[in-house]
Amino acid sequence: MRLLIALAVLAVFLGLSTTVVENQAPAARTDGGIEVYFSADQFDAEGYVASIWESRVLPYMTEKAVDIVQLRDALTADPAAAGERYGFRAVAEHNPYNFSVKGRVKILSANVKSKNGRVEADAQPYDGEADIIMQIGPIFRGTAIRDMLNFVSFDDFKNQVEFAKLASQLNNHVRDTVVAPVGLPGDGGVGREFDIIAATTYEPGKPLFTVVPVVLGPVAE
Amino acid sequence: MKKNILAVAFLAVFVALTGVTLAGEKLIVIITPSHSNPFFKTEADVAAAKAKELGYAVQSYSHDDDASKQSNYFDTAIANKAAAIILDNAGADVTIAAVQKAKDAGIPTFLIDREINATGVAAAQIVANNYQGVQLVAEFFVEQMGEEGEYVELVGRESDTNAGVRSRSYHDVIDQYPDMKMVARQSANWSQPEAFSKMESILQANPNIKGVISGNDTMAMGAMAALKAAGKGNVIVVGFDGSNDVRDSIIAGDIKATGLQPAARIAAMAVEQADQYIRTGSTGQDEKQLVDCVLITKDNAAKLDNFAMQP
Repeated sequence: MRLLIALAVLAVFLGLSTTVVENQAPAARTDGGIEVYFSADQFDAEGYVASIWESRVLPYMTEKAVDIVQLRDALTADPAAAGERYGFRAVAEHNPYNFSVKGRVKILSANVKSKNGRVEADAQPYDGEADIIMQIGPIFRGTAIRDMLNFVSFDDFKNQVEFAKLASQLNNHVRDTVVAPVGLPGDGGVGREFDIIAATTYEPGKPLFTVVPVVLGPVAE
Repeated sequence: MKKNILAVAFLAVFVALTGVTLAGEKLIVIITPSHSNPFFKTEADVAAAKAKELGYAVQSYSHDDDASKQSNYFDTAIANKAAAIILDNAGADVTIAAVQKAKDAGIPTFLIDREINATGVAAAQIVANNYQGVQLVAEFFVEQMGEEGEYVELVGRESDTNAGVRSRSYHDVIDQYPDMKMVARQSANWSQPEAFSKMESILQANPNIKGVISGNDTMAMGAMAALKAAGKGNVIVVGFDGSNDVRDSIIAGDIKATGLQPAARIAAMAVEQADQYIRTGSTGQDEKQLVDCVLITKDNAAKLDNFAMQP
């Protein structure tokens, strides 16, 4: 009897302490039709983004959002101070600040010939001049959304490929749930107005912010 | 006076031969891939210079991408009671055990350039954001190609995480354009002569290619040379690293773009953080630190020198 109990305890202990080690092929693997040299398929980017978008990403981006024109003026006056005050970057050295910006914008012109569709938009107060370049997809460039999130750390990811998958999936999520529902890219929506919240990575010397929208609210005409 | 010179000379030889350092001078061991690639030479040289500047003795070794050689150098570092190890590693998985071995001996390891597939073992992993840098190069490449046409990919050495990261990043951009068609994909193991011969044979089978994406600069140089030899110098070639060779090629109008990994700065950062760790027990930073890369084209190539942008 005592032996049985001991065995049972041992079995439970083994059950609790054993973690499943995935069988990793040493060399090539296939990922999205492309052979990669190591696996990055343990990370479910789609599931992760779906789980944080409403509950964490949107509240955070909303809380951090700075008016487009206000941020531009602050960056012109003192880029370091503006970055410190409004922006976020995980590693200070050599890396640009990321920002969340907000405002009412009117689309002035559109390039939907490129798959990386972009529109130039004027931000309120309107002066007929473009203030931002907004990416509308279907291809989005950059990692601005991911890099703005202060609750996401590269430490939590196995390698750059996993970390990159997160950035790509955040962009895909924008394509599917932010841009598509309002009829963009379509014809580019010249003349339409939106209340936006968007992520941008600061590029010193560039006159316009290039942004990826996380909120696109059509303004009723 | 003469006696002093003799004594200093003797000490220098003694240190050089035995690796035993002067009393009070702590040792930093630097282990990188082969210095025949200027990228690795630069990072090793910069790390050594920074360590000496901060008052450390330095030993510098090359593992030649051989994991067992790397393990031996870790044993050497442990035997010599190194205060810290600066490492550009020989494999994302095989290196974990070596770094752990040093950690168990009380020696922190600071990774540069390539990361390992584990956290909590190294004191820091300071890595160029290869994925971000290659995205910039890939986007430029797609623009130059007019979003269409046949192209070839040259991939780096399989054991190197960065070969996979870069390939993945190129394709994450390019594969979204349905009119971009990859007609060949081969590894040239980061090697210039290998890229030259692979490119020659690829060209025979695919005479109409319009572009070449390369996992690093040395392979881009090899591909460009093969293309020019075949009278196809107008093929759009892009690389990655930011070497002076490719800088000169871009200025000459041959290779079109590369991504600069700020290797010099990363090597210096690693030594600075090692110094801080040795003095205070902490780097004060996250373990894994991504440092952004810069797109180099004919517009800014003139400012590039020894893996850093000059003001």
